[in-house]
Amino acid sequence: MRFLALLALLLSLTLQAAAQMPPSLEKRIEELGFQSDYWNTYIRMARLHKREAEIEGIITSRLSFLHRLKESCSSFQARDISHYLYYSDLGLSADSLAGILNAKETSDELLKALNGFLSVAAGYLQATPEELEVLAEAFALRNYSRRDLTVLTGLIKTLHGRDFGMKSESRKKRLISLFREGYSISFIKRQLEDLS
Amino acid sequence: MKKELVILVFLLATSLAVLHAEASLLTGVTYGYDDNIYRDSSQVSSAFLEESLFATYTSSAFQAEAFVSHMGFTSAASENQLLMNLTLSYDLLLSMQSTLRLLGEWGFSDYTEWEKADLTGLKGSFSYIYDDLSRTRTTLTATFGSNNYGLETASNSFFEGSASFQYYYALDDSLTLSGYFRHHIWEERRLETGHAGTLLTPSSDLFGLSLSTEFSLKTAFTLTPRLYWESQNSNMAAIIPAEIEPLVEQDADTYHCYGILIEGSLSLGRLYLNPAVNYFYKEYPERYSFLDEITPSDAGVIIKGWNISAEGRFFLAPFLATSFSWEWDDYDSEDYWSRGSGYSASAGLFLLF
Repeated sequence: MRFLALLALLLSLTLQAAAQMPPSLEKRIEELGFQSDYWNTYIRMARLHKREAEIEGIITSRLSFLHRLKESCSSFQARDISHYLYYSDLGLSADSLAGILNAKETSDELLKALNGFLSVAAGYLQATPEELEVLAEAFALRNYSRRDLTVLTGLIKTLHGRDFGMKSESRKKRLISLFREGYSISFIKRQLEDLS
Repeated sequence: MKKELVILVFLLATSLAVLHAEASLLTGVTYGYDDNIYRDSSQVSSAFLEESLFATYTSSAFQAEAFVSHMGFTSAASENQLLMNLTLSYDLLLSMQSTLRLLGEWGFSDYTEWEKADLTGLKGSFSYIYDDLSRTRTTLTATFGSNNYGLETASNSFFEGSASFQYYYALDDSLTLSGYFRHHIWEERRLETGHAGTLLTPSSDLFGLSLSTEFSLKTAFTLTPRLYWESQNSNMAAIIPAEIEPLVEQDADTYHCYGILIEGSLSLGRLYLNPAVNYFYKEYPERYSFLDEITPSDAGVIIKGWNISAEGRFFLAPFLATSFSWEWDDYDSEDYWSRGSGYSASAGLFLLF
């Protein structure tokens, strides 16, 4: 029992140490008002993958991203920083994200739906950052809603599960092409199902 | 011949994969157990190992899919099977709303331990698809095909006409109504009828309707209930099913069937699960029922059947997935040759290129 308690203490100390932010960066984040628990993810991941040397560069680039986003987007909310950073991780530019936030009525649900959609596009369809930009731009320009993104996210996941992702490349091309043109979601859905 | 066909399909699939980025190759090994494959009358239960290879190639208008699989049973070698399939389709876009789809399919299945238990199927179809780009889609299809059995008397050709109408009553919830008519002719078989042994080529007419709807719940779950009804009028006096069993030839292939199928699709992180429940009621009004192997009873066979299945995958990496499947069938009937229950369970590993 004593051993287990000691182990738990050691584990807790290790995790805390692993999640510590270099003081200089912490100070800069505070100055900019960009505090978020999400920053600890970078520290943990960098240590996990033994890329500590890159931490400063990664966090600096994310700070520039947030700074640019704040400048271009009046609805920027400090409480949504974790969402914004996630988009940046996917490779989305601050200008693209600002385009969406300026065009749509921003809400937590919208940010989560967009998050899910871009995640499956990147993960299941292997969309490149450039292709994610195209999708994000189309979402900002066209009359698509949060619900549309949810429908497409569910469909992509289902089709991927059904065929092991064998047709991901064709599915991605068809999605980007139709989404960019602004076709209705039910039509896009039928077109993607045709590939199954 | 069989080896050559395997090599041909394999080479085609591999070439497609190598030549073009829009081609994929999926190969897998599955180990499983089948219990009572052909109901109580056969009592066949055995473990099996299946090796399979799928290949797809998709360009904007053209799709090709090839599939080769071999199932080897450890204690019922007579059930060993080789399956092959090649499907080619081409979409001719007449306008954004209208598409003409041409499809050709070749299939081959063989119980490898039996001399003439093979089936070669050929099918060609033309579909006209009209999509209003919003809520509805209408599809009209004409299909011609033939099934050639090693046991020639079972060979047949068919024509099928079908129509389906899909309506999206909500953004992601749709209603689909499908109807089809199929006419079969058993070319090599002759039916003795009337006086002085007049010979007739037997035929069957099948008519079916199905109504299905799809409900989506957030991004993780889709539920698809389907009601269906099918009725066949046939003057076939005896049928020889592809799977050899049952050993007794049953009379008359006229039947009426209805049922309900409820299918789900669940995607949670790396897990994909596809459970399904099917219940059907099938009646062969002109067929003899058997109390046991040899004792016929009153005319008419009724089967009430349940099929419950679940198929799933777990993605270990984008190119590597485990798969598992489970199926349980239960057929309740007074007829000895139709009743019984059994299950099949398997697990496998698949690699995607």
